[in-house]
Amino acid sequence: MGEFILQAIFEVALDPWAIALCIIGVIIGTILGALPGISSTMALAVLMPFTFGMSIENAMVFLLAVFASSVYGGSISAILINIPGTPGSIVTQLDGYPMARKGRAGEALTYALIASTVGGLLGWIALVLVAPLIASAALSFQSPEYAAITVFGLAMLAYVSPGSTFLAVIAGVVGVLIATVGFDATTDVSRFTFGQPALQAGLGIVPAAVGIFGLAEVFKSIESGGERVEAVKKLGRIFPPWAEAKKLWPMQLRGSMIGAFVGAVPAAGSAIAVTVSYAIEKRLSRNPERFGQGSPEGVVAPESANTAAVGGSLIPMITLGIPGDTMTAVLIGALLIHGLRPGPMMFTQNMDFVAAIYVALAMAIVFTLLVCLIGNKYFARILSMPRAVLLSGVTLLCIIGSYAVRNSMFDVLVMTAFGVLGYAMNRINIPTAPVIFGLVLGPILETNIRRTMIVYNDWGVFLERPITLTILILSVVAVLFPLIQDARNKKRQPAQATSSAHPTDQS
Amino acid sequence: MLQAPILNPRGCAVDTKNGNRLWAHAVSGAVLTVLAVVLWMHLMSDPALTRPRGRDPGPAFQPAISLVLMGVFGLFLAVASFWRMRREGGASGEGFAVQARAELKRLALPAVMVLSLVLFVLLVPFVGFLLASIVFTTGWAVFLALQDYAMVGRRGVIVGAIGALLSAGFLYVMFRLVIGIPL
Repeated sequence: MGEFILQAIFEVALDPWAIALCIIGVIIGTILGALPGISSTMALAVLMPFTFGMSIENAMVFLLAVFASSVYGGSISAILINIPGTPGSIVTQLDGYPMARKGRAGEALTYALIASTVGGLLGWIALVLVAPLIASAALSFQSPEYAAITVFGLAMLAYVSPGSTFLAVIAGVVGVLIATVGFDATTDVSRFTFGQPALQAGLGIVPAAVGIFGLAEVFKSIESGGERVEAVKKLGRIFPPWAEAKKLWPMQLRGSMIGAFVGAVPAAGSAIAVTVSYAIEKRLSRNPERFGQGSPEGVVAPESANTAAVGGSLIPMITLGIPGDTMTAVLIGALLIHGLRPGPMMFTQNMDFVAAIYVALAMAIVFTLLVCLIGNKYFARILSMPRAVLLSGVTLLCIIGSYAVRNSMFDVLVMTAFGVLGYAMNRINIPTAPVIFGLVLGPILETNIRRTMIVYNDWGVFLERPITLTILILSVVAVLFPLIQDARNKKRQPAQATSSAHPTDQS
Repeated sequence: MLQAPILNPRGCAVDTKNGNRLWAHAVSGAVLTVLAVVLWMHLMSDPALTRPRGRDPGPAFQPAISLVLMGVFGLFLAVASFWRMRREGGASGEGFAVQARAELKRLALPAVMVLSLVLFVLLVPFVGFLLASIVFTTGWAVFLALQDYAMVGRRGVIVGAIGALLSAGFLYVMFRLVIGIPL
């Protein structure tokens, strides 16, 4: 492993073009992450097409730079305008904005940046240490285990999705169904093409992801006019007092561990990591009443968890081929476009690429620190970018991105259709991420189920193998537990017109 | 503006926004159920998909399972939402109509953007990608700036138009010349 990392350092970290791509990715990612309405997932989805002409290693350098920097970028708007730029910054605003209102905006941004760097590096260490262990265990998995793992990935997403678990399950099933459009890989028979040649290659993940995560957000943004935001303009001193900063290290370390662990749980994502981290720090604090009033602890804890979750979420992605969150779902789409399917086999057949991912992530974290230390005061001005330019530019990027996959205008129509679907689902509180997870995991699930039956010719094998059975039981629990809990909670509440138990109620 | 609460038959105040949501869920459930039935019939009518293949469950297996689940869940969603609407009475009356009109108003611009995207796809073979992109982005940038006219003023509209023009040109150059996508 060490020799591969050394090789990757020479080929990636010391390559001027890779360094330039990393810096460009950090700048673009930070800007997009800072802009409210553009999440890290959307940033990755619309920028992914830029990588089509690159080598897979450079593509990862660029995308991981965007990934890591956009995660931090969300804290810029959270601190300066009290609007989280990304879902992972929803907690940072609780203390970051009050700090900014007290004239400590610069310090808050720097605290967030340092915490983000510490979290990112600890998440990276978790990735480097844990991924090989999981991969080596996964190498002994066979098709029943892989099928069970994909079911677990879908079940976990249903469990952690905001809102109703029932609706998330439906969305996942729809995604799995959509993934069956086109030629069946095993028998070459076409499914649901209705005689249309354009559908024979299926509905690609890239147009779907760009539509659901990109275009749907544009639709939401243009519903009504823009809103005037009151931004804290004066940053004040940039570097916080050392006496205060050195007391925050334990919070950063704890937040990083929480972020790396939660991020490694398939589908969990950074929003859960930051919430848990904040709650724990508040509980452990000697002055919990300071949280929410501009306490630096309330900034560093969630920010370190937020970026640590980046490394954590890459663990299931590269070891099992299961997205750790929606962002890694988009990364899997990028890998597939470049002809690489993530999973444990990468650790035997593409170890050099795995090492390149490690080096690329480290570069992303380091360059985010360097670029943002210098550029924070300039990035802050980005918040006043005209909405008109931003939305029209992002829409064009969505068009080009979906066209560029197969040089087909049909994919632009597919992207538009998924944009409409994503927008409609958002309007009626149905989570959209499960659709993409279903698109990514559906083919893996089908391949492994059919392979299992061809080899074993016995459905009971899913219940006879202990690992498979355990994973399936956990999957069932992940789906049923919130439904049962929600029904119990509703029964305890006084009977009112709007509080009766319903599968679509938020749990 | 405050409105008098809508009361259900039991005299309890009703959340009309929730009523609209229930309507939407009920309709979605019904659509999913109908879609599941239609696609199931299409699936089963294709012998290439359903013929026995020995140990292999076949290409119809996963679609069939997905369609069954989609149909069952969709039916449950539709029935549960309709039942709850009837219990709470939140989906009828003046409040619901007001909410529905407001919802349709909000959907207008996204609908226009969808149409403009379809138009874009149809126009590209005739005018080329660059011109179509410039028209599309500049048009929308100007429109959105006009939407925010009270905030951004005339300068904002001009900046929006120029910014959109430059971004369209930049993206075209990036993808066409640098990355090599044949736009």
